[in-house]
Amino acid sequence: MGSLGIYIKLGSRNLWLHPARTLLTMGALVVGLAALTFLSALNDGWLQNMKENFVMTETGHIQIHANGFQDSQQISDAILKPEKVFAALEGKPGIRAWTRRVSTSGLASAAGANAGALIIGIDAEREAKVSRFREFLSSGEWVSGGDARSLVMGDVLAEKLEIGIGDKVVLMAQTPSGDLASEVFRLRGLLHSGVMNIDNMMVMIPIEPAQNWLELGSGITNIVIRTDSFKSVDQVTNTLKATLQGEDLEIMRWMEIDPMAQQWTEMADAYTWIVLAVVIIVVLAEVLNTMLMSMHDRIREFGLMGALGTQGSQLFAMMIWETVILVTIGGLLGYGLGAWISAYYGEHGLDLSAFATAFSFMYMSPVVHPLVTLENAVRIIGAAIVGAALAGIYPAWKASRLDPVEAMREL
Amino acid sequence: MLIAMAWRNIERNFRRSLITVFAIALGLAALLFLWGFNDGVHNNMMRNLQQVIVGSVQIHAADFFKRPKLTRDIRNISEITSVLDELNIERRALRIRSFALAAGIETSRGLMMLGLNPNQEANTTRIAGKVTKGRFIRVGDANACVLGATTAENLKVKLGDDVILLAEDRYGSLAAEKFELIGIIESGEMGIDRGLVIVPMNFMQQMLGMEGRYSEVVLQLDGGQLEPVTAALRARLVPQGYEVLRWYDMYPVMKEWVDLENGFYYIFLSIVLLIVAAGVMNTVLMSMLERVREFGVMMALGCGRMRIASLVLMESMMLGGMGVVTGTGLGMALISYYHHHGIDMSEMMDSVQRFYIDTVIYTEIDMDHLFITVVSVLVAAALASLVPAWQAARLEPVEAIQHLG
Amino acid sequence: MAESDYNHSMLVRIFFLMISIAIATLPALAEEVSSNEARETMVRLQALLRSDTNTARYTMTVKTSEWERSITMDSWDDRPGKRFFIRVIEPVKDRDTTYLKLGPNLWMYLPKLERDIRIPPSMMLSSWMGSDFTNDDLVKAASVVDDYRHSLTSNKDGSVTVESIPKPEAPVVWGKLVHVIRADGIPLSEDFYDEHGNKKRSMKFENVKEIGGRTIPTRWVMLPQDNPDKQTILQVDAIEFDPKIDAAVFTRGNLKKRGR
Repeated sequence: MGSLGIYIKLGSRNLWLHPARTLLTMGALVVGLAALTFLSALNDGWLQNMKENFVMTETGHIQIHANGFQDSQQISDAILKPEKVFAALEGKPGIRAWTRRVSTSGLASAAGANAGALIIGIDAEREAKVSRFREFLSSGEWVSGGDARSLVMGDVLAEKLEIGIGDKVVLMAQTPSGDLASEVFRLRGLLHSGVMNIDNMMVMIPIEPAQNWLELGSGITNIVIRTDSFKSVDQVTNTLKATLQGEDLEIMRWMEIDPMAQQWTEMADAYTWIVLAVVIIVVLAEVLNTMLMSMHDRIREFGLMGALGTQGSQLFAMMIWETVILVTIGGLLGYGLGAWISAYYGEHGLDLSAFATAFSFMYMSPVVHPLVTLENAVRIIGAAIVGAALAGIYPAWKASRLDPVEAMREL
Repeated sequence: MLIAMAWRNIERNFRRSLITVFAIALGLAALLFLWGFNDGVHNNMMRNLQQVIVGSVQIHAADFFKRPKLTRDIRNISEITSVLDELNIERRALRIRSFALAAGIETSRGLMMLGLNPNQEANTTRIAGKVTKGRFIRVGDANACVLGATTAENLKVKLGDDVILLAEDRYGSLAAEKFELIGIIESGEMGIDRGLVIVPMNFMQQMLGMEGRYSEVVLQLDGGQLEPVTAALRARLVPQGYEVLRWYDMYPVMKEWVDLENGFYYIFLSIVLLIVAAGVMNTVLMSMLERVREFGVMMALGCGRMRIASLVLMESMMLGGMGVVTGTGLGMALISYYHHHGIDMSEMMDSVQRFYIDTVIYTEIDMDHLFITVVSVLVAAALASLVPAWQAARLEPVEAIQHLG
Repeated sequence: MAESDYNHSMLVRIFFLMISIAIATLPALAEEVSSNEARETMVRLQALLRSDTNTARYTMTVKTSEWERSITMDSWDDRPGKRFFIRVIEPVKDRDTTYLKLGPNLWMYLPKLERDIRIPPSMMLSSWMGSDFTNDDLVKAASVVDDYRHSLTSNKDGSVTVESIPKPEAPVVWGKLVHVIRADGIPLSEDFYDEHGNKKRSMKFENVKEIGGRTIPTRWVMLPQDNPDKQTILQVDAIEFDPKIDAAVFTRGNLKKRGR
C-alpha cells in the first residue's frame, strides 16, 4: 500500500473516530452547499422564467422582416411574397414553432371615441405555439380564423373606446400604396396582461382579413420564431441568414429587437455573480471556522503524534487528505441535497406569492421553478471543493508546525 | 453573577470565542454588503428615472395623466406655486404637453410634444444633458425642436432640417408649424428616443392658444422628502381639483421591479441566514463538546441544569452580541468604502452606458434593510445557541466527567 | 283511376307548397318594397342637397358658451367621382388652407408649411377645423346610401322617418342613423346612434329657402351629445348646382395655388 493509501486510511479513520466533530464540520459544509445550490437554482429558475415570458410575450426568439421594417414600422416595408421564407423554415433544426403576422399602427374607432392602436393580424393556430397572448384573454373569446370579423383588444383600450364585448369597432390604417382603408370588426374578447403595450394599445384580428383589408395579398410583416432554447438562437439565426441570403430581409434576434431586455438580463447576471460570490465566501468562512475549531481541539493529539515521530510534512499531508475526504463527501452530499430540493420544486414549482405582491406582474409568474443545470453544478461544487480545500490548508499547515511538547501541554 | 461567569468563560477560550464571533460577524457583514449593493443599484436606477425627465412628483389637473388632453390643463397655476413656495420646493419646472403628428412626405408619426422652459428644466431635470447632437433648447428660441434619435431617423431628418408638427389647439382647430431641428437626444430609453419632441414652452403655448396655461408641474425631491411632500401637497391640492402623482404612481414598472428583486433578496438572505445560523450552531456545539467534562464537574458540584443551560445561552448571546456589533461595523465599513469608490461592473455588463443603471455602482443601504438584517442575525444566533444549551442541560454529570472528548 | 288520383293529390300538394312559399315571402316582399322606397328617399336626399356636382360657399361657425369662431370657405363637389375640394377664405390666418378628397384619402395644405400633408388614420377622427364634424365625415358623406339598409315609416304630420342600419360589412361606427324628412323631401333632422341605442350626435336642418335654383335648408346645426355646450353651424351662403368643374381642381397641385 503506497503512502497515498495510508493517508486516506488514516484520514478516514480519524474522521470516523470523532463522529460528533466530523459530523459537525461536514454539517456546516452540507448545509452551506445545499443552500447555495438551491439559491443558485432558484435564481436561474426565475431568470429563465422571466426571459422566456418576455420572449413569448414581446419578441419571440427570432423575427424575420423585410429589410428596414424594424426601424420604420411602416406597412410599405412588408414581405410581399413570403412563401419562400416559409419554405426555408420548414424542418430547420432548432426551430420549435413559427408564426406569421401582419402588424401596423392605425386608428380604432367606435361611436363614442377613437384611439390609436397597434393592430396585429395573427394566424391563431400557429400563434398559440409561439407566444402567450392567448393566456391574457381575460373575458370573451379568442380570435378565430373562422370568424373573419373577430377582434380582441386590450381591456384599457376597450375602456377608452367605451365599448364592450359584442360591439363593433372600425379599424383604419394605410395600405402599402398610402391609401386609407377602413374595415369593421366585432369585439369578441378582452386582453389583460399588466403590460401597457398590450392592454392600452393592442388589437388582434385574424390574419387573412387583415391581409384583405390592407391589400397585402399573401404578404406579411413579421415572421416570429420560437427556438428550442435560448442557446440555439444564434445558431438558428446564422443558418437562416445563410439560407435566405439574397432576399431583402432582416433576421433579428430578440435582444436586437429589444435591447432593453438584454440590458436587464445582463444586469441580472452580473447581480447573480456578486450575490453568489458573497454567499460562497460566507459558506467557506463558516467551514473554515469549523475546521479551525476542530483542529484546535486536536492539538494534543497532534502533539502526541509529533512526539511519536510523525514528520511535520506527514501531519500536513494527513490533514490535507482529511480535508479532502471531508469536503468531497460533504460537497457531494450538500450538492445532492440542494439539487434534490431544487428538483422537487422544479417539478412542483415554488409558490412565492406570499412573499411579495410584485411577483405577479409583467413577465413573472408567482410560481418559480428552480433550475438545476450542469454548468451551475460544476461551478458550485468546484468552488466549494477548491475553497474548502484552501480552507483546510491553514489548519493543516499550523498543525505541521506544532512543537510536540508545547502541543501536549495545551489544554 | 451569571454574566461574570459567562464573560470569564469567553475570555478563557479566547480562540474559540474569536472564531464564533468571527463566524457571526462575517455572515452579517456579507449580508449588509449584499444589501448595500442591492440598494445601491436600485436607488441609482430610481434616481436616474426621476432625474432625467420624469421628476419625483408631478402635479396636473385631476385625471390628466390617465386621460391627457390639452384642455385639461392646470386651472390656476398660482394655486400650486404658492403651496410650493410655502413648502420651500425649489427644483420645479412647468411644462405643457400635447399629442402631435410629425408630418412626413407620405406618412406621419405620432409623438408626444413637450414644451419646456430651459432654465427651469436645468434646475430640475437632466434632460438637457442627454442631447448627443446639436444642442438643447435655449431661452430665446422660437420654432426650434429637439427629437429623439430614432424618430429623427424615421423621419429622415438631420440637424437643420424642417420638421412639421401638427396638433390640435385649444379650440380643436388644427395648429401646424414648421420647426427647425436643433438637437437630437439619444438616451437609450425607447419612450424618449422614439416618442418625444421637445420645443420651447412659450412658442408651444402660443401655437396652441394656451398662453399662460400649463399641463404639468414637475418637482425634483430628495429621497427622504418624497412621501412627506406628496402627502402635504395632496392635502392642499387635491380638494382644489388637482392630482399629485409620484414617479412610481405614473410609471410603476420600475418600482415593481425593485420590489420584486427585494422580494427575492429576502429569500436569498433567509438562506444565507440559515448558513450563518448553521455555522454558529456548529461552533457553539463544538466548543460545547470540548467542555463536556467541565460541565460535568460543575453539575457534580451542584450547579443546576437550568443554570448550565443559561450559562451556555448567556455566553452565546454575548458572543452573538459582539459578533453583531463587529459585523455591523465591518459591513458598514465595506458599504462606506464602496460608497466612495464604487464597484465597477462594466466588465460584467456591456460597457455601453445604460439609461437607468450606471456601470459603476455606489453602495448605500436603506435603513429598514439594515435594521431587519441586524435583528435577524441576532435572533438567528440566539436560536442557534438554543440547541447546544439544551444539550448542555441534558448532560449526566458522571458520564460527562468521563467523557474523553 | 289511381293515376289521375295521384296526379290530383300532387297538384294539390304543389298548390299548397306555392301558397306557403308566397305567404312566407310576403313579408319580405313587403319589406323589400318599403326599404326600396326608403332607399329611394335617401338617394333623393343626397341628390337634393348635393346634386351630381356643386360649387358652394359656406360659413361654418363653432360656438360654445365661452367663445365663437367662424370660417368661410369655397367648395367644389364631384359626387360620382367621389372627390371634393375646399379652400378656406376667411379668417385671414387660415386663408388658402385647402383640403382635397380623392376616394378614401384626404390631403390638406397649410400655406404656412408650404407643403401638403396626407391626413393619416390617427387624424381622421379628429375634428375638422375645430368643428363637430370629423375629417372622416367629410370623406364618408356619400356612403350613407350604400353602406346602410333603410326602412321607412310615415309620420302623422306627413313627414317620413327613415331608419338606416349599417350593413354588417360597412366600416362605419354608427349603430343607427335616423332621418326625419318632410313630405316635400326637405330633411328636418339627422340623428346618429351607437349600437346600444344611445344618441351620439344630432343634426338639425333649418332655414329652408330658395337658393341656386332649389329649395333647401341653408342652415345645418350639428349638436354633439357629449358636449351640450358646443355646436357647429354650417351656413350655405351661395350654391350652384351641376356647374362644369375643371378636372384640374381635384389635383394635389391645386392645393398649393392661391385663391383669387
